[in-house]
Amino acid sequence: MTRAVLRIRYLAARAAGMAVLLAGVSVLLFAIMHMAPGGPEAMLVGETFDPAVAESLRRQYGLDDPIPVQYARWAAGALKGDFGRSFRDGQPVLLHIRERLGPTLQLTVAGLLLAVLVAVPLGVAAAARHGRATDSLASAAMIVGVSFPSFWLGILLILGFSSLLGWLPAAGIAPYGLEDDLLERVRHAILPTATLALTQFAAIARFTRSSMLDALGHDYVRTAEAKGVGRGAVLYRHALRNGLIPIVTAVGLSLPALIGGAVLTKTVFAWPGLGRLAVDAILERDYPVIMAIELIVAAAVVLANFLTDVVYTLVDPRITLE
Amino acid sequence: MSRLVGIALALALLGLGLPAPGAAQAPRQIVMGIETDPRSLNPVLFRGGTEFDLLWQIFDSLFELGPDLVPRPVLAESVQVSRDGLTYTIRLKAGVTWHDGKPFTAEDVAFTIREHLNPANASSWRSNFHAFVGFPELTAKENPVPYDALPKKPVEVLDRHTVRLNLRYPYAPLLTVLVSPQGGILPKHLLEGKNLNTAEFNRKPIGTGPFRLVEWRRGDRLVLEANPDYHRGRPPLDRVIMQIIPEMTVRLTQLESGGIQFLRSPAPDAIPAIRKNPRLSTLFGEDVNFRGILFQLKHPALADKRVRQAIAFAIDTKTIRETLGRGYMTEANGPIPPNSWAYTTKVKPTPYDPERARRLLAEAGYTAGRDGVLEKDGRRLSLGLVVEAYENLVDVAAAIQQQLKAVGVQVSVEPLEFGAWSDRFMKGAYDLLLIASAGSVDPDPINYSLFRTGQPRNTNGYSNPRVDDLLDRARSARTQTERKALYAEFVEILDDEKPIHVLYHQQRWYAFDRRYKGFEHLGVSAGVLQSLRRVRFQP
Amino acid sequence: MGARGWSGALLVGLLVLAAAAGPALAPQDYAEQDLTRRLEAPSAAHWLGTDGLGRDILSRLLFGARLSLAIGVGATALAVAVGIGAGAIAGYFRGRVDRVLMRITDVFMCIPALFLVLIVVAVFGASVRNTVLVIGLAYWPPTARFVRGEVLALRGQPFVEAARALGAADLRILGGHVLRNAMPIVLTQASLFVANAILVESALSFLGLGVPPPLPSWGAMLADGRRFLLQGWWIATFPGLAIFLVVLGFNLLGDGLREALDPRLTAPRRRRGVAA
Repeated sequence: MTRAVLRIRYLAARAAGMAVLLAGVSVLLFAIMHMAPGGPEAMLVGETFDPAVAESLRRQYGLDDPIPVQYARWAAGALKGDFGRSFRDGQPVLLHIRERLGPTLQLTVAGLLLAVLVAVPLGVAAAARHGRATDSLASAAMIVGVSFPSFWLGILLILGFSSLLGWLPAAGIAPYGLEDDLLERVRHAILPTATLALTQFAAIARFTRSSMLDALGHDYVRTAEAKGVGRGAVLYRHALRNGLIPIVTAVGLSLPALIGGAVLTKTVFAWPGLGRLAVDAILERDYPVIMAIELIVAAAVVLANFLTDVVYTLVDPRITLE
Repeated sequence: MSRLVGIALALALLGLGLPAPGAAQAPRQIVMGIETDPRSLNPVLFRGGTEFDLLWQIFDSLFELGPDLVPRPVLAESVQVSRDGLTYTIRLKAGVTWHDGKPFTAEDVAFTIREHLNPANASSWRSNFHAFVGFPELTAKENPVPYDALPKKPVEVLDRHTVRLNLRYPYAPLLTVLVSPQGGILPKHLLEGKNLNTAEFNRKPIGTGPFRLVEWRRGDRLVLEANPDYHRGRPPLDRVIMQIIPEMTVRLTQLESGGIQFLRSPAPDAIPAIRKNPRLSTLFGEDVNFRGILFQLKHPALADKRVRQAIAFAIDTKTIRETLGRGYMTEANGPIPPNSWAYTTKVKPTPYDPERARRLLAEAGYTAGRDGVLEKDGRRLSLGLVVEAYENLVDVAAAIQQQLKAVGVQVSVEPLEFGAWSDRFMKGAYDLLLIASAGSVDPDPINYSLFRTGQPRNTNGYSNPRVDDLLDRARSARTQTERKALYAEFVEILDDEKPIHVLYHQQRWYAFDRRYKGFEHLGVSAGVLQSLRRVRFQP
Repeated sequence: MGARGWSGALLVGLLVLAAAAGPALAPQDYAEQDLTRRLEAPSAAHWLGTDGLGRDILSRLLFGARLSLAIGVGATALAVAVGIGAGAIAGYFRGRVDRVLMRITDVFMCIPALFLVLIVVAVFGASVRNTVLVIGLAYWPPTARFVRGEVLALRGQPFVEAARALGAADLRILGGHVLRNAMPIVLTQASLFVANAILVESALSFLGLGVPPPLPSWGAMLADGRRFLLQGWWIATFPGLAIFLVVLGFNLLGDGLREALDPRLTAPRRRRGVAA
């Protein structure tokens, strides 16, 4: 019983902490935007050269109120799940976000998965042959992976695989009428997913390598080896299991970078995700959209951190939630 | 884990073996590459950009421009203008239906014009409706009069298929501001009583146009299908897909590989390669737009006419047109383009004459400082150039920067996205501003708003009573000959006083799969889109 | 430091050399245009070809080395300085100061740094100064976290206690002992930060928020060159390669430093949950 109570109390504290954090994020962003010369209405009325229209729009969006009042109104709406309307087209912000969520999740999850699938075996292989050629090669690959400007890499991949070889499509999610064709979707997803994964796998691989090196030095691994357990089993069943914590941490930590990096990938590959929406919103100063996306991304990161902590308890029973 | 890798690899390899997309496409559809989403698919809220491509297909206007840029009827059947030029009685086409099957009537026309005049709507072109009765009262800063309280209405419905437009003064260009795409007519039955700025209609538009919108996946694509009941005949193409591809290079590779079949305004440097491709066709034409440098006259140095003239003489537009523009830029003598009836041959384009520029600057009291930059009273002649990151304007700005440096004028280029650019423009927060104006078919709308004293778009503080008088008279004058003379004098004054230095008129070009026939150039922004309803696939 | 570390140091050394001597070696000024010789392929006259304005790409690369290095190092110096300051203060004073500062790093760390950079540059305008400031201020939290952890760990150690017993002032203790111990790792991180800052700068340019023309930052050159990928491969390729090599260099150097300076090989210790 006490255990359950403790757990609930812990979860409540975590939730409260997350809420405070998100409030902090929203205040920070709201402040930055209102420090802008001209303030947020610059975009809204920027192209409307008629003073009467400008005034009417300012009134409609409540931009004449003091900034704290505007923030309070925004926050009150956000708490009820109403993020207001886009300055760009007057449509509900949530509608825009809902439209982009599917493609974003697809690309982010696939990119992360691919990165993990490449990075973990690579890191394990490097650690297993520590100090030998495989290790050097793998380590070099990791570093090369993070040293490319991702948009350039994306464009080069398009030029190579799409333009020159004609093997893969360069833009969009699927051709018209073939949205349910899994193969088409996979084909369209290959280049963006690969680009995204290439920029992210290095950090994960690096952590895998070092934590595996750590684990391989432990007694239980030597014991297992002494007992005649096969090399592969030792690596994957024993060492990797114990080395997973840092790997999970690395995956969790790479999330903001992944989402940020996806911005460039999505622009190059015309992928209709949240990142592209965010960049458009930033360039056009569509503040309600920026606020909502950033908040959602922040919430995702916070949640991922929390889940990371939960995963710890699963991979390593010695750790309990405090 | 390795099994998963195997599956992923197998999927990837399977994907690689397939033919490129586009090879098996249905012939009665076309995929067009566009760079961004449109904002609102509502002609009253029209702002430009990719809205051009879409609005043209979905909505009809009372008139459209013919190849000679003269308005001709679409939803209108005939127009009668009163002798004093103050009332336009327009007979409308009968039997036209909206995409939802409801009939189109005079009420829809009246509703649309009323919404244009309503200051609550984010209409960027409301000043085009300035001549309508009630305009000042409706938009007065203090106590605006509600529409229903107007003693005389700007639009009257005479019967189901006749409207009358009432003007405050004779306004010669009226029909040209009622053309597509910004003159599109809205369905009253779907929008009455709604807030136009936020209406759901704006993403699910219903028009009377040749195509109707069936899908809009933001950031991905828009799909249009032929309107089988279109009053001018069903378009030959069944389907139009507007694929959103932000990167120009990717748009080009898609065009080359057949992923898209139409591209408007690819970069000029891409034209040679496109022309070499036997599968592609190109179409070129003049356009009424202009690209020029606006001078902020409140800037102490730029208040001096000689400095502005010197800057104009120091810019080598010929080289810019021939190199950066690859010849697809037309020489300019002012904001009115050579393909306009109002073009004057009396004003010669400003020649490139750096010597004269140096002389003028010396006359204005400038001497070279230590680093070669000119100074006067200890103040360096150092100017900011705000430029919209559009077309190759940033390159043009960089070329100008270099050319002005040669005569001792220091320029710092500030490239901005359109939103930030127009914010600076509207506030007059610039020294030099590179403006990419779509222009207007009739000289009035654009020139009146930029150069008439007190107009909202006149942000550089230019004010000349003679110019005001010319512009006022030109918009109301009866005959084109009369108007032409007035605009000729206007261009002459602009050329001398240089509140703006127009650099060139950007020509238009389109590249498309040559199996699509029927694209026709029209000399306004994205004008080619007007012909899409007649385009057919012909292998 | 292993072979990789040294090869990184070599690449970085080359960059520093280019930054120091580049303007003297460059055949032309970086802004010098010849519109009649645009988009020319590499030749004897222009070893790396010319760009869309007929400018010599080699010259721009050489001038740009200084700018790109300045942006990378400037932003990193700022991030590290702010990070060390905040981390040291948090770790040393603990309690409420620590909690507040760590909450602030939490807030920063859950907004993707690239977004933050984009927003601020979009709002305040693109310039070299803004780019450096913004990248620096967006990337300070990891350093702050790390330094705080080190300070907390070192705080209770006998030599710090001893210094305090001898009457050393708080700040002297911080500066003299604690930071000296944390410095190697901070330097390692700094090397990786420089690499990242150069990449972020190129991403800014790609999205149209880079340094204003005609400044030849490599990111701006790469972003500009992508318009001509189908007409002139050399325009994007050389700045792209330059960025790649330098980023690679800083990454290798950071890696080498890590192995040389940190015996633990930095398997990340279990982090406390962000909000815990």
